[in-house]
Amino acid sequence: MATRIEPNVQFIREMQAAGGESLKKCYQCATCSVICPLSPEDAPFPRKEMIWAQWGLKDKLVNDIDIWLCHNCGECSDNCPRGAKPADLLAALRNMAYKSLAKPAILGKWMSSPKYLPQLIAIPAVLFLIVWAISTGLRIPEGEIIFAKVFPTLAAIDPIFILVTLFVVFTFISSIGSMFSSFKASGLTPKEDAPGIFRSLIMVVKDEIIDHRKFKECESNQDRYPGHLLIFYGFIALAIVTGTIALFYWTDKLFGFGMTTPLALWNPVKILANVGGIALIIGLIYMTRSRLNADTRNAINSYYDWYILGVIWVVAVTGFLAQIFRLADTATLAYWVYYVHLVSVFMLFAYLPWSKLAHLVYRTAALAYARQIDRRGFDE
Amino acid sequence: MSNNSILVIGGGFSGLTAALEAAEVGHEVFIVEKMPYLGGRVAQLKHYFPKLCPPSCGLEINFQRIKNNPRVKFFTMAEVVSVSGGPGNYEVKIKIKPRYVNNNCTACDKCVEVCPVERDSDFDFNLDKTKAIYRPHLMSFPMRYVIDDQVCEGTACAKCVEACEYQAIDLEEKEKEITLNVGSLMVATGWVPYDVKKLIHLGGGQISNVITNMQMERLAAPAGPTDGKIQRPSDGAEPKRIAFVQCAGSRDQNHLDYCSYICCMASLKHCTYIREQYPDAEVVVYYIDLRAPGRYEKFLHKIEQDEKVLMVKGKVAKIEEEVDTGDVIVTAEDIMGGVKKEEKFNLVVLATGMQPSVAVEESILDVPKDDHGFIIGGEEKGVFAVGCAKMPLDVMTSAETATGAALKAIQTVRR
Amino acid sequence: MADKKIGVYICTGCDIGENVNMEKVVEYIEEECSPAVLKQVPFLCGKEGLAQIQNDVENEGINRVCVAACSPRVMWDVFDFGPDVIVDRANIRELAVWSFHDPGLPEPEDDEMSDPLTMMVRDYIKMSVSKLDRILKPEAEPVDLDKTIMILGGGFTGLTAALDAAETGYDVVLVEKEDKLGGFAAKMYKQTPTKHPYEKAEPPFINELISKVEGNDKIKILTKTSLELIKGAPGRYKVTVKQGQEEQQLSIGAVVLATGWKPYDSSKLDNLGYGKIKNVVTNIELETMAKDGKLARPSDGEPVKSAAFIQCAGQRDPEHLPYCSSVCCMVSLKQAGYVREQNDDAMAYIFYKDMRTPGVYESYYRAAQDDPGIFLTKSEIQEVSQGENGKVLVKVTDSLLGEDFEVEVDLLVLATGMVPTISDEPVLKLGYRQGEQIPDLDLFDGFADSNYICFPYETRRTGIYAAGCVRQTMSMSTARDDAAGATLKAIQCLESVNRGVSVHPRAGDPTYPKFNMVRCTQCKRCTEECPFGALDDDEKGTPEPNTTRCRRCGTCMGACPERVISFDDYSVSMLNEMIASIEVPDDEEEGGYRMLVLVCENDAYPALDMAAMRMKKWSSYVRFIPIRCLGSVNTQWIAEAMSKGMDGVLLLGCKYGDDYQCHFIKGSELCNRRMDNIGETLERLQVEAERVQQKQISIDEYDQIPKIIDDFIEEIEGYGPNPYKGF
Repeated sequence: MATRIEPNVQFIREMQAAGGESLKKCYQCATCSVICPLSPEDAPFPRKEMIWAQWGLKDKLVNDIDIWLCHNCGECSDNCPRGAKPADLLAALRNMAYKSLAKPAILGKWMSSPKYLPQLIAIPAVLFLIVWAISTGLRIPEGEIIFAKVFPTLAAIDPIFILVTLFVVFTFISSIGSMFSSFKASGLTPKEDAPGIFRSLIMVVKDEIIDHRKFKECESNQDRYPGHLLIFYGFIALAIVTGTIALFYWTDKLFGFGMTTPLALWNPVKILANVGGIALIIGLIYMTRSRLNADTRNAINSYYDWYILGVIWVVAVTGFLAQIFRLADTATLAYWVYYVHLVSVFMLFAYLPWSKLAHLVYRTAALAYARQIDRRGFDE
Repeated sequence: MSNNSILVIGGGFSGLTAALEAAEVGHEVFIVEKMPYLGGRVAQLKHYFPKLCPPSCGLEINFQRIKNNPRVKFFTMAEVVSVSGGPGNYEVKIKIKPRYVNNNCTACDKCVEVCPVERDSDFDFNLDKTKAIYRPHLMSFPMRYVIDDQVCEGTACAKCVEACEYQAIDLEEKEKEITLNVGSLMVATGWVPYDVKKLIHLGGGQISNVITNMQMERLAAPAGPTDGKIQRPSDGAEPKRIAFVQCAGSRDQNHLDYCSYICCMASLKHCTYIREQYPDAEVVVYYIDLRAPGRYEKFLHKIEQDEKVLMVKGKVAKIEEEVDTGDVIVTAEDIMGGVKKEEKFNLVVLATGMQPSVAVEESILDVPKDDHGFIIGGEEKGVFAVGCAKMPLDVMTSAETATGAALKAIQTVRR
Repeated sequence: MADKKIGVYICTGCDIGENVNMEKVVEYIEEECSPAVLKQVPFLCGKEGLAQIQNDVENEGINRVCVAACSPRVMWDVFDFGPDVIVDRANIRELAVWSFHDPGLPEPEDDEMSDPLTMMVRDYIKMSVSKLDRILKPEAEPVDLDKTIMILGGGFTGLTAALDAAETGYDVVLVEKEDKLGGFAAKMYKQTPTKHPYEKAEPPFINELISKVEGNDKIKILTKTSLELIKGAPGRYKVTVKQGQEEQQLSIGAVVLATGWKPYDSSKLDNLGYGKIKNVVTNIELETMAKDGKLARPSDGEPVKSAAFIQCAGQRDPEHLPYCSSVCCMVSLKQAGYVREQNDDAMAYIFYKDMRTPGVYESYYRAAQDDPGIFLTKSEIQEVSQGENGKVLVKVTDSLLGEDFEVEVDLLVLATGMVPTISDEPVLKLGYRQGEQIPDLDLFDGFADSNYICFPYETRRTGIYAAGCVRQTMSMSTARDDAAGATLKAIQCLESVNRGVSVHPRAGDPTYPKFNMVRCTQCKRCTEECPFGALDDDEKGTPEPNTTRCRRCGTCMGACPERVISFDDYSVSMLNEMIASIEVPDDEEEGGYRMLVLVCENDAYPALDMAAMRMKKWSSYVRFIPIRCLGSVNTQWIAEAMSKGMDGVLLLGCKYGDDYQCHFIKGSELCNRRMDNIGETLERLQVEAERVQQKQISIDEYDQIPKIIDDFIEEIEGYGPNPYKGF
C-alpha cells in the first residue's frame, strides 16, 4: 500500500515565513548534499529535506533528525545553483521546532515574531520593577553602589533565576523527550551496540563542541567561525563566573568565607568575567557583521537570528555599562542599566527553549542521538 | 534606395548559413570572421549528434557554395570596429589584422619546419602545440597559413620568410581598415565555452585529468592532438572509467543561469566516442535532467541500451585528484539510490556550457542583450542575431535561425 | 565552341618538380595530347604563372586550361581567366606527389614506361586534357516561372510564413482545411513564453497575426479548402484545390508545408486511465477547458481543486511515440498555473521523467515552480486508478521523495505528444511518378524533416519546404524562426529557378541533365532511381525531365544503360575517355597494377586531400577520378576500366543507411545496389566480382584512406592481374 501524500501548503508557507523563503526554487540536483561535509552517506541531507519541503511533507520534516546535524554554515546555499538556500530552509525548520517543541506553546508563538516582543519584555521588566519597588520603593539607594541593595541576591535574584533554570531545564527535558520519540517514530532507533546517551553526549561535547570542529569544516563558515567560538567561550566564562560567585555567596553565608559582590577588579573571577564579556562583544561584532554582509542571494536573516543577537548584545553591553557606571559612581545610571541587564538576562535564559540559542541543547541532544543511531558525516 | 548588401558578423556555422542563404537568393553578402578560418566552433567537433557525422562534411559543402558564388565575400582575422547609419544604409568599418601570410601560400608546410617558436594550440584547447606559423587546422578554409604575432619573433628571426619559395610571408604586414556599405546586419558571433577555471569545486583547469567536453572533441578527432585516440592528458593512458559531469556551470546562478541546450546530447555523443574506442570502458553520466528534446530522445534511448553506460541522477559538486595515480575522485548523490558516493575515475569530462561570445568580448553593436549577453533585439534596426548569439542552440536549430534571419535581413534591404 | 584550344600548365613547385621526371611527362603529353600550349611553370599560382596563362589566353587563343598542380580545393580562386575559359585541375600534388608511396618496381626496360610517380602524373594530366576535350561550356536553361508561394496550413507557422513571404514581396496563397485560421494556437488560453525573459505564460497573439495576414493584400486566403493535386515543378506548379465542391487551379512557384501536428491518439493510453476513468483528460482537453473559462471535472462539473500531470504520456516510449515532443514540460508548467489560478488552495502535481526546458526556457521552469501549490517530482507512474468521489488515484514510484506514494486528485492530465500531420495522411498529394508523399518519412518518425544536421530544410522534394511541427516538434518561438527559414528556402528556390541554376547542394550549378531521347528504351530506371523524384513519365512513356526539381547529382545518368543522359560538363562518354586515358602497363611485374578509384567529390575527395596534407602515403597503382556522386556511377565506366585491363575498380563514397551522409540522399546506396548487377556481369566474364568494390568513408576519416586503398590493392593482387589485360 503506497503512502498517500497530501502536501500541506500551509506548512510550506510557514516554512517560507520562518526563513525558507526560496525553498520552491530547488530543482533537486543534490549539490547541497554533496557539498555539505556533515551530510552522511546514506540518505544525505539537505536535498531530501528540500523536496519534502517543496511538497509540504510536515510529518517527515518535524521528525527529521538531520535538521539538527546541520551547523548552518551556509556552504550549501553558497553553492546552490538555483538560489534555493537549503541552509535557510534547515534554519527555518529549526526555528519552527523551537516554536513547537517546547511548551507552553504561547511562548513559542511570542518568540516567532517581533510583534510579540513587548509581551516578552514586559514579563521581566515588570518582575524586576516589582523587586525594585519592594526593595527600595523604586528609589536609587545612597552610598556605595551595590546592586544587591536594589536586587537582593537571596530574596530575589536567586529565587527568580533558580526558578527560571528549573523551568528551562524541565522544558528542555520534556521537549528533548518528545524530539527523541519523534526520531523513533520516523524509524530511527539506536543501534544495539550504540553507546548510552550520556556517553554519547560526552563524546559529542568532547569531539565536536569544544573545538567547533564541524563548524570549522565548512569553507563558507570562515568568518562566522571565530565569532561563534568567541560567543560560545564568552558564555562559558560568564557561566563559570556566575557559578563561582553563587558558590562563594553561599559559602560566605554558610561558612563565613568567600566573596561578595562587587568584586575587586583584580579578582581573578572578575578578570574572567571581563575577559568573557570582551570575548562576547568581539564575537558579537563578528557575528553581526557576517549577518549584515551576508549575500542575500544565498542567505537571508530571520527574526530568530536577530532576536538572539539583539538580546546577547543587550546582555553584554549592559553588563559592561553597569560595571562602568558603578565604578564611575553614577548611581542612577548604574542601577537602571543593571535593571536592563537583568531584564535582558531573563529574556536570554527564560525564553531559551524557544529561541535560536536552544540549538545549544537540541543540537547537542540530537548529535548524541545521531551517535546512537550511527549517523555520521560522509568523511567521518 | 537602400543598400542591397548584407553583412554577417561571424563566419561560424550560423554565420555561413545566414550568408549563403541570403546570397543564394541573390544578395551580395560579406562575412567578417575574427579567426583565420571560417567554420567557427563546429570545425573543432569530431561529430554532430545524433547522426554522428563529421561537421567538416557540411562545412565542405558550404565552402563549395562560397567558392561557386561570386556574391559571397569574406574576410578572416577581421573585426567590426564601428557601425553607423541605419537600416537599409549602414556604414561598417572593419579592421583586418595582419595574417602575415598572403595569397601565395600553397600550404606546403615548409615554413613550419623551420619555425623555432612553439605556442599552445587554442584550436586544440591547449592539448597540443603549433609553431608560431601554422595551418589553422587541417580542414582550414581558406587553406592558408597564419602567424601568431604574440609569439613570433618577427623580422629578427624570419626563417620562415627564407624557407618560403613563394614569397608568401610578409612579416611587416600591417593592420588594415576597410569600409563596407550594407543595408542590414546579421550577428552570428556564436559562443565560447564557459571558463572552466571558474568551476573550482570541479577541479576546472587544475586537475589534469579533468577535461572539458570541447577538449574531448579534440581528443577524439582524427585530426586532433592524439590522432583521435582518447587518452588522459596526465600520462596518455587509456581511460577505463570515465565520468561525465553535466551542467558544469550551466543551470547555475553562480555561473550560467540558463541551460546550454547542447551539453546532454554532447555527452551522450561522447559516450559513443569512448565506447567505440574502448569496448570495455565504463562510463557514468551524472545529470540533473537528461535533456534530449524532440527526436534526440532516440539517441538517448540508444545510449541507455549500452550496459556500460550508467546514468546517475545527481549533480557532481566535488571533484578531487588522487595524487599518486592521477585518478579523479568524484562525489555526487545518487538521488534515485539515496546515497552520497565517492567514485574513482581515470578521466572526467566536464560538460561545460556555452557563453555568448559578446558576453566575454567587447562588442560595438548597440543592440539589447539579456543579463547573460545573449542578444534579444535589434530587429527594428535591421540587425538580426542568429544562432548562439541569440540563445543557446544546437547546430540544426542555429541553421534554422540563420536561414530565418536571412529572410528578415532581405526584407530589410528590399524595403 | 567550335575551336577548342587546350593549354596545359604544369606547376613544378611544392615538391612536384623535384620528384617527377618532367621531361618524360612533357614528352608523353606532347605526344599523346598535342596541346596547343604545354608549359612548366615553377610557381603556377603566383603572379607570373597566372600572367603566363592569361597571356596565352589572350594571345594564343587558349580557351581550355589544364592546371596540373595542387588540389582544386587549394588556390580555388586564382585560376579564373574569364567566362569563356574552362579550367580543369589535375591534382598532381596531393593525389600524386605528396601521397606517393614507392612500390619498389624494377627500373622499366620499356622506353614508353617511366617511374611510377611520373606515370601517375602523366595519367592525371592526360585525363584532364581528355576531359577538357569533351567538356561543353555550361549554359543554364531559362525558365518561365510563377513566383507565387503556396503555404499549406493556416496555423501559427503557416500564418507566420505567409506574412514573411508577403513582406518580402511575394504573392502568397494560404490554404487551410478548417474554416478558421489559427490552428492550435487559436485554441490556447495562454501560450508558453516566446520572448525574453521567458518567465511568464503570455496571452496568445494569434488573433493579431490572423488580422495582419487577412489585411495583407498579397496574401490570398483559402479556408475550408483541401489540397487535391500538385503537379509540375518548382516555378511552374499547377495546383488543384477544392473549396466545398468547387475546384480551383492555382499557378504556384514553391510550397511551404506547415500543416502542423495532431495530438497522439489518447485512446491508446488506457493504461493511464484515459477512456476508463472519467476525470482523466489530455493536455489538449485541459487547454480547451481553460479557454472556456473553467477547469471542471468531466464527471460532475465540479471545479478542479487538484490536478496531476503525467509527463511523456505516450512519449519517449518505443511502444507509443519514441520521441519527446519538446514542449510538453513547458505546457504542463503553464497548465499547472491554470489550476492554481482558478483557486488559491488548488494543488497541481507534475510527474516527469526529466524536466525538459532546454536553453532559455530554464527561466520559465524556475519561475513556474516557485508557486507553493505546484509539486514536481521525477518519477515513474505505477498505476492510475479510480478513487472515491470521482477522484483519481495516481501511484508513483522512483520518485525524488525517496519512497513510493500516491496522490488523490480531481483531475489527471496526460501530457500527450505531437504527431506530424503528414505521417499517416497524404497531406501533399504530389502528382509525381514516385508517389504523392515525401518518401522515407519513417526515418524521421513521420516528420517531414531533413536528415542533414547542417541543412535542416532539405527534403527529397525540391521546392517544398517544411516548417513548424510538421517538420520537428518545437515551441512557438522556434516555429516563428522556422517559418521564416522555410519561406526563405522557397524564395531562394524560385530565384534559383529564375536564374536557371540548381538549388542545394550544387547551388548555382547551371548544368542540368540533357536527355537524348532517341536512344531511350523507356526502361524507367532514371525515373525510379532519382532521389528527388524529379522525373515523371511523359505521354509517350519516356522520361519527362522536370529540370527545376533536379539537384544535378547525376543519379539518372548513372542509372541509364543507354547513355541517354548527360550534363554539359559531366557525361558517361567523358568519363569513359578519362578512363581510357589511363595508361595500363601490359606487365604488372614491370609497371604494377592499375586500379581506378571513382571518388565522391563532396566527402571522399576532401578526405584524400587531407590525408595527403598529413603526408599519408598509399599505393601508386591507383588513379582517382572525382565524380559528382556515387549515384552517378554508370556501369559502363567500370566495364571500360575492366576492358582496358585495369585490375580493379574502387568506388569511394559516403556512408549510407538510415544516417546517410550522401548529399544526394541515395547516391551511395543506389550505387551499392547496382554493384550486385556489376558483380553478376563480371562473373559472367569469369572475372572475380570482388575486383569492383564500394567503400564508405566520411570526410573526416582521412586517416583510414591508406588502409582502405592498400587493403584493396592487396586483395586484388591476390586475384592476380586482370585476365583481359592486353586484349
